Formats: sequence, C-alpha cells, structure tokens
Amino acid sequence: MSAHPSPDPRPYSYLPFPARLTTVIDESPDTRTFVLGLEPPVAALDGAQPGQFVMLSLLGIGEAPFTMSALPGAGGTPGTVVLTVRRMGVLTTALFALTPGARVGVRGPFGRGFPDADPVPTLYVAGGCGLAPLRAAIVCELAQPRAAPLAIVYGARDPVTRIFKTDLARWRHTPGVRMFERVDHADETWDGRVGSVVDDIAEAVAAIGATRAVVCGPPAMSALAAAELLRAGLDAGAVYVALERYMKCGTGQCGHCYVNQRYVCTDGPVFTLSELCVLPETWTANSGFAALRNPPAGPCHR
Amino acid sequence: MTADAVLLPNVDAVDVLRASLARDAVLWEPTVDVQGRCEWAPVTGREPFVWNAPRPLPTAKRFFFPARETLLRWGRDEVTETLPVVRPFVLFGVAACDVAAIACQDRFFTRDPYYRRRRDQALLVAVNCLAACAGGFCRDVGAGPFTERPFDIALTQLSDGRVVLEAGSARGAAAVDAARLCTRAVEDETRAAVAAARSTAAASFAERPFIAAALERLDGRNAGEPVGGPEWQALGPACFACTGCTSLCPTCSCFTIVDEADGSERGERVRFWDSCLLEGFQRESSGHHPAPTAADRVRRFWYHKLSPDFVPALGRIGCVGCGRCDTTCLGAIGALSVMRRLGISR
Amino acid sequence: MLLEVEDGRVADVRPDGAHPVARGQHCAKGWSAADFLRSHDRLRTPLVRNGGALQPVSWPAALAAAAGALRAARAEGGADAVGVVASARATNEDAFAAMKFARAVLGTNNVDHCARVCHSPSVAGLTRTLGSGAMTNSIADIDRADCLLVVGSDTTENHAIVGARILAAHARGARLVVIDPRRTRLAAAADLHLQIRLGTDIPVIKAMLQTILAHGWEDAAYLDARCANAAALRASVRDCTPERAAPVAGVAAADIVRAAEVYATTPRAFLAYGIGVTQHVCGTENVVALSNLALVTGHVGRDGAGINPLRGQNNVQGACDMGALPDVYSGYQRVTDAAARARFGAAWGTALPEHPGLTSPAMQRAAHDGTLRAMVILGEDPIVTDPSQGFVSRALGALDCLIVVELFLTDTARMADIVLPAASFAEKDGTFTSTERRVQRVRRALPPPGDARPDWQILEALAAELGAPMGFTSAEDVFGEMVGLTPTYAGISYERLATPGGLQWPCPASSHPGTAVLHRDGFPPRGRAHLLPVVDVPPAELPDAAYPLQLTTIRLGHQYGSGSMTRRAPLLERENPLGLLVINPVDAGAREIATGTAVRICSRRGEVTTRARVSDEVPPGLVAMPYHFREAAVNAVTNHEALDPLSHMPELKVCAVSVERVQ
Repeated sequence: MSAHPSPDPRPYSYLPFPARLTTVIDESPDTRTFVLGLEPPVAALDGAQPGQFVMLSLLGIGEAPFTMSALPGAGGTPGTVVLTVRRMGVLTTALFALTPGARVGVRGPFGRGFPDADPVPTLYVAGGCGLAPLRAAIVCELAQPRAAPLAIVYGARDPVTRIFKTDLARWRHTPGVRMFERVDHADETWDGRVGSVVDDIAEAVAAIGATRAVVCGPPAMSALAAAELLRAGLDAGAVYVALERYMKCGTGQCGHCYVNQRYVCTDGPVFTLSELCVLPETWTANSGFAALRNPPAGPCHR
Repeated sequence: MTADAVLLPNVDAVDVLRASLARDAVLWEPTVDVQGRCEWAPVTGREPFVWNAPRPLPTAKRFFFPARETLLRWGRDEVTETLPVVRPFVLFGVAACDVAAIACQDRFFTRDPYYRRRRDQALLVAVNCLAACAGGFCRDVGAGPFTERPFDIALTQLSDGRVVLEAGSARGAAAVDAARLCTRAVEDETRAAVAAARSTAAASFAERPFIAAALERLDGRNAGEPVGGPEWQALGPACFACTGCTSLCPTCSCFTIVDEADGSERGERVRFWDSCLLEGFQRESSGHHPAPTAADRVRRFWYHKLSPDFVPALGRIGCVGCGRCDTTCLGAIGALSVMRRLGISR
Repeated sequence: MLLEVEDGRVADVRPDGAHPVARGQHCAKGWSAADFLRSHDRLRTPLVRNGGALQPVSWPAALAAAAGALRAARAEGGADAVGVVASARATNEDAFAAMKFARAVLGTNNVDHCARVCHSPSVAGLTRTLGSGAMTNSIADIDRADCLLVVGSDTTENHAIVGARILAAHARGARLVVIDPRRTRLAAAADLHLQIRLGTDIPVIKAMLQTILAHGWEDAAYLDARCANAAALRASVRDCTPERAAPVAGVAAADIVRAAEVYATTPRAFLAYGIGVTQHVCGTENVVALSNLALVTGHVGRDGAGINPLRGQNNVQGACDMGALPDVYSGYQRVTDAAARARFGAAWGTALPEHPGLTSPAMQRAAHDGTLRAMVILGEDPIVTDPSQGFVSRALGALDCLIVVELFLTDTARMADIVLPAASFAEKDGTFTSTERRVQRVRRALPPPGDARPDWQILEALAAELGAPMGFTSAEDVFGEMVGLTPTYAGISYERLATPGGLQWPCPASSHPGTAVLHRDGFPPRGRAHLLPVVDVPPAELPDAAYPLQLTTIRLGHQYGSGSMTRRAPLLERENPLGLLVINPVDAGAREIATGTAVRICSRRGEVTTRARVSDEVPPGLVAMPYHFREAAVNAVTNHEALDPLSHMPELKVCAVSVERVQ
C-alpha cells in the first residue's frame, strides 16, 4: 500500500473527461448498465485494471464512484467505460433519468484493483450488485490464453434482481468455469439453490482447488464470505475484498473513505484480508470484519 | 538555529522588513482589536508590529485551503477549471504550531493544484513564541514553541529587544536582502541568548504528563484498541457535531464537493470544509454506515489527530497543540480534555 | 459571529472569541450560517401573481400592487380586515417597523409573529407573576449555579451554547435535574430525570411545591418580603402529594421528592425551560406553575438562579420586545392603556386602535372565515411551521391578497399573490435581542442579492405608497424612534452597542450598564411577585382506540425552523434524513417497524408518511417527529383547535395519532 503522499508528482484535476451515454441496458428492476463513450478516448482509462473505479460526474448533481463492470482496454472496447449501477440516491436517480446521447463526465481510473490475472485457481464471490466489478475481472481472466480454473459464487435477493443474466448463463457453460448460484427468496421461475452464498464457498473452493478468492458484495455478506474463505483454508493474503465507502474526490484527499490511516480510494478499494486485519476500523460490527479481530487461520501478522 | 542566522540590533529593523515585504505583496498579521480579538488582517507594514499577540482563533489554513472553493465552472458548452489567481502575500507572525500545521498540509496537498496555487504565492514569517499561550501545548507534541521549517523567515526576539533573524528558504533570504536590513553576525553570546530564550519558553508550559500517556495509548501499534472502548463510549454523547473542531483545526483537511446550480445551464462545483464528526460524513446512500455512533466518530477523529499511524502521511502526528479545539468544543472534548481523560484514567 | 467577505461572498464564518456568550463557540448552524446566503434560489426581485403564476416585476409595480390590495381589503372589511405577521429572524428595526406599519399605517392591532407558537405563554404567564416575560437571569448565571432544573427543553439541540454550558456546570459538580417526557442528551447526563408522561407538568410541579411546603424547604423570608398570595397557593397544593402525582405522571413519588429537595435546598438553582412547557393547551398555566416553584424557593432575583425561558429564534425576544404582538406596543406597553396609546399616537401623528388585535391563529381563523381579507407575512413559513397544515393552507388560500416578504420561495410564499425579496442578517444593519435580553448590533457585511431589501425598507416604501410614510431613512432611525418610546430600551444606542455583547435590557438611561439579573430589588410595576394557584389541565386530545399513541413535536440540532435557511447548507442538509418518526422499540415491534421502515402517521386532522427511527429516547406510547421537513410535515397531523385560552398557543406538543407500517 502506498503511503501519502504519492510519489506521482502530477497534480490532481477535478475536470472530468467528457463522455456521452451511448447505451442503457436493464439488468434488473433497480439496476442498469450504462455504456459511456469517451469523447475523445482517454489513454489513462484505456489502461484501467479490473476493480479500479471512476468518478461519474453529472454537472449540477455531483459525482459518485463506480467500479467498471467492463474495461475500456482488456476485454472491452477502447474509449468506452461501462458502469453497472443500482438506483440508490440522488445521483443514481438522475443517472437513471438520462437517455442515450446525454453528456456526462468521467474521472479516473482510481484505486488499486484486483490482483493480476495470474493463472491460479481463483474463486469469485459476489452478492447482488457486487457482481459488477467482478464481471470485469472475470472477463479479463477468461480472455487470458492460459486460464486456470475459476469458480463463481453469486447470490442475489431473488431471481428478478440477478444482474448480467446473459453472462451468468454463458459462464455456466464455459469450460473451466464452475458456477454456484443462490437466491435469498425463490419464486416459481427459480429451480436453483436458495440461501446464502456463504454456503457454497467450501464446495466451490474444493471444486477448483482455489488458492485465491475475490469478494465483492454488501458489507455483511463480504465479511461472512471472508471468514468462510479463511475457514476453507485460503491464506488471508490471497483473499481480496472490495470495500465500499462514500467518496468525493477519488484521490485520497477528501477524507470520506478513510479506514484508519488508509484510503479506500487510493489504497483500495480492493484489500487483502491480511491488510484489513491491521485496520481496526474494519473490525466493528458495522464494518463487517469482526472476525478479523481474531483471525481463525492464516498468517495475519500485524 | 542555522549558520545563516543574522542579528537585527533592534526591533525597528523588523518594521523595515515588514514595510519592504508590503511593497510587493499583501502583508497579513495577527492583529488585536480593541475588544481583544486576535484575527489575521491585512496591514500596511507601517504600523508597529504586535509582538506576543495571542494566537488568532482562525488558523492560517484558510489562506491555502479556503472554507469554500470553486473547483469548476460550467456553461452551456464548456467546463473550466477555476484555479485561483492569487497575488503574492506574506503571513507575518505565524506561530510555531501553525507552521507545523502548514508543513502537514503542504505534504498532504502536494498534488492539489488549488492549494499549490495559493501556497506558492505565500511567504511565511514565523515568530517564535517566548512563552506558552493559554491552552497551548505545542511543546508536548513537538510543534513548538520554537519553529521548524517550512518557514521562509523566522524571528526570535531576545529579552534585550534585539532580534535574531533566520532565513529558511532562498525566497526568505531574497526577501531579507531586498529589505537592505542593517544586520550583524550572530556571535556565540547571541546563540546562547537564543538557546536561553528557547529553554525559558519551553519551561513556561504547565507540566502535563497525561499527554505522553495518552499519546502512548492512542498508538495503534501498541494497543490496537478497536472502536467502542468504554471511554470512547462515554465521550460520544459529549460531541454536538458542531464542526467547530474541524473548522478551527489547522491540520484538518477533509472536504465535501457540492454542485451549485440553479437549473440553468450554468453552475459551479464547489468544495467545502467537511467534518468527520458529522453523521452524514460517511453515511452511504444504501444507509450503511461504517461509523454509526458518535463514539465511533469521536474516537476516529482523535485517532486521526493523535496516532502515529498518520506520520507517513503528515510528517508528524496530526495535532500541533494549538488548543483551538479546546476553545471551541461545546462538549469539552478538545484535544487537551480528551488526552487528560485518556492519559489519567489509565 | 464574524463573517469574512471576499469578492462579494462570505469566505468564512467564525465565532467571536471576545463575545461573552459565544466565547469562540458556535453551534453547527452557526458554523454553516453563511451557506444559504449564496444559494442560487435566493429571491432577487419582486414577484406578482399574473395569470396564475408569480412573475418578476419592478419594485414600483410590486409596491403599487401591494398597496392596492391592502387598500381594497380595508375598503371592504375595515382596518381589521388586514393583518401583519412579523419575523422573529429579522431585526428589532424590522419588527418595530412591522408593528408601526400595522398600527399607524394600516390602523389595526392585528400584528403578531411566531412567538405565538413558541413562548407566548411565557410572556403571558411571567408578566402576570413577575411583571416581565423574559429570562430573569443570564446565560452566564449557569456557571454560578449549584443546581440546574431543566424542564421541557432539549437544550443541547436547540440552544447548543446554553446546553453546553449546562453540561459544563454539571461536570464541575452542579446538580442537574431534567423533567422531560423524552430522554434527551441532558436527561441522559442528569443526576435525576423525571421522565413524565406528556402533558403532566402541572401535577408534577404542584407535587414538588407541596413537598417543599410540607418539608419547610421554602424560603419563608423571601415569601414574606417579596411575594403576594402565598396563602392561596399553599392552600391550592395542600393535597397535591407526590403519591397522587406519581401514577398520573408515570414517575416515582420518591423522585418527585428528590427533585423538589435538590431544587429547593440548593442555594443557587437555575431553572431553564423550553417549548416543552409552553406548547400546551395549558401553556400559560405551566409557566405559572414553574414561576410559583421558583418564587417559593426564593430563586428569583439572585445570581446563578432565576426562571429562564429559553427562546429559540435569534430575535424572538426582540420581536416580542418590539411589540410585534396584538396587545402591546414595544416594551410590553398595553394597547388598552390610554396613556401608552396616546404616547405612541402622538409620536406617530395618528389615532391608534384601542382594542387588542388578532393573534396569528386568530388571523388564520378569520382568514378562513372570510373576515380577514389580506395579510402581510414577513419571514415566516406558517404552512410548514404552524399546526394543521391543511387548515393553514385553506385559510391563506381564502385571502383576497397574501403578501410575503421572504429570502426564498417557501411553501407559504408559493401561495402568495405578491412576494417581496428580503435582505438576510448578513446584508443589513440593525439589532437583535437574544434570549437573555442582550441587545446586540448586526452589521451589513455584504449587499443583498439583486433587488432584495431589509424588511423595514420594504415596509417604509409600502407605507409611502399607501400615503402614510413612516419617516424611516436608516435602521438607526428606526432604533432611535423605538428607544424614545420604550423605557426598557431607553438608554441603548448604536454607539453604546459597539462592544461585543452589547447591553442587556432593562437599560433605562444612557449611563445605565444594563441588567444581567432581573428582580434583584423587586417586581416592578407592582412591587411583589404574584403566586397564582394553578389547576390541572390534561392535554386536549388523549389517546384512544383509533389513535392510540401520543405524538410530540421535536427539533433537531442541525436544523432551524422550516429549514428554509439550514436546508440550503450542504453539511446540515446531509446530516438528517428528510423527516423521521422516533418510536420506542416496544411500539415499533408491535407494528413490525424497524429503523428505516416507511411509516404512516394519522391523526384526526390528516396524515403524513416518513421513515422510522427506533429508539428508546421516547417511552412506549409516545412518538416524536421533527417539524423541519416539508417532505414529512408533522403539522399535517398536529392539533390547531386546542389553544391555550390566555396566549392562543396551539397544543403543538400533544396530539393522538396512529402509526402503521407502509407496505
């Protein structure tokens, strides 16, 4: 993790790169994918890594951070930023009201993303909209020539709130990919498993011999999944968790996202459990990772 | 004190320096009005300098990181960055605690172009404090009463009225040269006098052993105390979330960004000082809150100010011992009060 | 408060370190006080309704329209067919000009302001018992008190500086006793919290009195020398034992005794109360009961003691002092007093109406019934702040002409026929009088936006348009005229107010230093304080099967009034959700309500939907809602029909409601 100040001497800018909304895809009743075309393309964004995020800017409304669900570079279209967004607050409500052709702005990419797509058996654990950032990583990994086996554990509230339904269906039949899916509440359309994603983790780890895991979801789910991954024998340094925080700048200045002395925007948003276990502010019940206070397994040195 | 210090034989030379500085820059000094308020105010440099002014309630941070700053402005067709255009200015009479705080913010805002634009125009003239001020404890957190860099010029008044001037930067040295002061070399006797003034000043502070004890306790490497210790639970209800401490703290740097628009095609993106003591500071739009109780927020604030975990980011701990938070805190949980509780209760 | 102005905008706000009350401190609203000034939706130009919509017009056009409407209303219904509502946020000069405008220009005593819905019972009650309706002591007396009795006041949220001082006094060893239905921050810190049932103040206070008299804890010498009617009071509480009050109020009899003992036997006991006391159908009786308590124990007229109504708005004390009330001129000189009337009439060169005018609820009723035809409302938003929103809307809607002077297009301004843009505190000269009778200067720091003007200038221009100019050319002019007619302010001048902290009235002469503690030497004008027996008055609306819960209205520390100013400050607006209902876990559990659940609150007047916050700060059976949020206006359900007969205070603190989860 980099300590402040960053050695990068370039000044920060709050000027967003101009972009235009080109496509809107309905994922679920409250979640949509927004495809943004940068005008002109931006080299820095084309080099974005899975798990990195951008600040989406709507003039007159404000900015908010979103992790890319498909990358402009690896596995995606250069000059294109893809965000999958759940409608929650003022900015997302305004975003949902936009139609293709609308002008928006983008700053980024920011933060430290997921680990490099080394060919090690990797388990992806996602809850709800948390699949959005993982999708970029999964697409990247599947594009690698020497892909290792991977497993995806995904849970949604109910069948209708599942996102990336096409991807989920495709991955189910992709060689080398094991899919585990559950919903909290089934309906007549659902013939899969019901319950928490945590219940699939041990089986998924065993199925591919996972030595690395990447987790993204609501805070409570991430914490439970992390504890289960440690129980399943993964090393705390090989479990990556994406944290979410309120953010205003993306550059480690505004202070909203700090977790102890670390900034989710620049030191994260992806942390390993061995990094989190020395950050007491993540141990609280509300931040989820209470289990880390006395890690059950793995080298979690202070 | 470095080798390039010089001796000004009398205080009048300081007024010559001020008048010279005021020719090419706006000169700001802590000024005391008839009611006894001390505020930073622009002066001409022709009025006599107020030595030993009380520390101004507002800090110098707003000269570099103002309470409200427009970042962007937009119209129908374009968005423009509104970097400030700032005339050269001099802050004359900055106390050691505030210099230490500016050093923190220089480091923190290295890459912030708005901060840099303002900071690059500023010349800092520090004046060493010869005695502890009311409520100040800079000595105990290593921020005073004598200053360290990044001052451009530092002045020490000796008991006989002579003044020792030290240039801390090339710009400071150039400003001294331009003033054509009549100076003398610093003899051993003068060095001894400065050292004596320094130790007299240091000795003037009340002994507060609880400060060291509290700092030790707040060192996450020692205790690793999580949120929610019983003492923090007791301090939580004392916080009114008034934002006073964070507004007056010379090292507080948190901000929020707000779009100000009237529904037309014009508008501004503005940043405001924010406060981590506010419940809304970290509340996410989902409703999730990583620091849901006042106790969590109070603990986190003091951790941020007093823990060595922030030394890599700030170059020192976040508290410079100015005591402003103790003045303004409605709940009597400013730095000294908190350290007294934490340091004594152990 | 100091404002630093740069390039025509407020760059920084900070507290005054030299001010005797602020002492370098602000509440959250103070620190954010300048944010609303630069809001893009400040009113900059007069608006007149034309073809259904409010359209920008010039000042001459707006004034001509306003004068025409006022003339027409008077022609049709007489002088009393018009009414003026002044602002407790504006300056003394604005309030004095408003009351002169009503009385001398329009010829009516129909003038009032929002003190009606906050401390009118304090003015009514304390004037009857002590002769003067204001804090008897000063905020600094808290530092000298050995006991603090806080009744019906969420002091740390509503008067943060005062609340902080109470907590500091408690920390240095003063005893803190809180009487409040809610477990407020002060209650949680207190040595003793009497968590009484809503609206049972009188039985509890009478039981305290009975206990004091039964134990001989009263100050007998003080009673003999300085009070009248002690025997009648003694007789009236003889049977009011703590044992009788305990089941009514839901507190232990022993706690009532303890509270009485601590308050009575501590040499310096500071009694502070808020609108939890006044906003009842028995608001004046509540105030009188507290006054009896303070007098019997000799806690009035001494350092570190007193009976102290905490006034909420920056100038609500001043607006009362200025006579923006239907029955008094400035300095509480009665309109029914022929000598006072003659004095004001002579100064203003006109005959003045003899009968007291309408209070603001009475004006609303008269508007509703068609007898009041036009109103001028300055800086108030009764649609949000007054009880029973539906009724207020219908009443204002029934007027021939509504003229609103405002900073923003509030819900009330939206209903207006004519909207006139006003200057804010930072944009005009004048004076404010704080809750401790402290008269202080406010100085113009920057120009008003666009064509906005101070209230007094607007009223002067309107008076001129009506052919009866008031003759004011500056704020100091207005102040000078007021001082000449107001004995309590007679010794105050702008020159003397130059120092931070100003002067506390009464200040009868230019050599007088002002008065920090009232009644050291007696109770003018009658000499003795009056003890008045009080009868128990239950709340007008009690819970029943259909509306099983009691609802009380509260305020949040980061908001002010209808929020027209505070909600434009980004940090303050972010701090609270847009409305909430505080409900006890027991009541919440029974209705499957959790924090964040959408809930519907219904009363006999209306309904409102908001989100729940489950908390044991309220006991089972009681729910509480803040009144700042137009999105969840608690005044949709409050009771406008229950009025305190003496002050016309509506019972904003109590009504019966049902609460249900919204599916």
